[in-house]
Amino acid sequence: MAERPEDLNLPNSIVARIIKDSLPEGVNVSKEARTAIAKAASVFVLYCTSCSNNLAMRANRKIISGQDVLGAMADMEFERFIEPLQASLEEAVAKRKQEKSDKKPEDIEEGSDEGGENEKENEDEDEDESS
Amino acid sequence: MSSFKPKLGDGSIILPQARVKMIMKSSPDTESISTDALYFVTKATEFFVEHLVQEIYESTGKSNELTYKGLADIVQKSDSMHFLKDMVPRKITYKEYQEILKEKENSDLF
Repeated sequence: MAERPEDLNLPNSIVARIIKDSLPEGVNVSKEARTAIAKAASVFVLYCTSCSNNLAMRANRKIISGQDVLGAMADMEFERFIEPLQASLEEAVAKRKQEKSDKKPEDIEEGSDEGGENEKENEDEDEDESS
Repeated sequence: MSSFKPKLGDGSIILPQARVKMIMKSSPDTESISTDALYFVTKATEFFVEHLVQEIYESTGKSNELTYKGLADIVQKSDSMHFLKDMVPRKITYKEYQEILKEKENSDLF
């Protein structure tokens, strides 16, 4: 649980990095703008939580699912994020799998190649929390 | 609506998920959050910052200074940013403030 009030803010340094990565080189961001954007990002998390929560509650579920968050994006008029989000998750899942098979290749009994073949078998354990 | 092509779209996450989870849990109705949901909220927040910054940059004619004013203008103008309106108000000068007060007094008389 949050013990200090600053625990409820996103770390400024990391938000600053995202800001910098989003802009062409040489663009200056005033300190005031940076602080306000970081605060805005924290508010975005709360807004997102509340919209996702509404969807979960309406469906009588206590756990916020991935689908609830995607639905919330549409409610919040951020439909444009939905596709990139799904693509990102797929990539993250694929990467995790890749790391797993890189780390302990001896654990994979059948199909010793990395990626591709054994994707189907692993699907259940990786996506069990999505529904 | 323009499509959004994130620069940060490679699946990795740089915001700390533990912190995002803590913020989500601070909302009174939140009971539990699936791993996918936490991933989506974290990633969406990164997208949001990227999108917001790009909007400001475009709207100021690709100026080399990204300022609070640029941010406040976007927040007041854009529908999807309406949830930030109270948090990022436009700044006004003291003189303008006095004029607003005066106008308000005048209209209160009638």
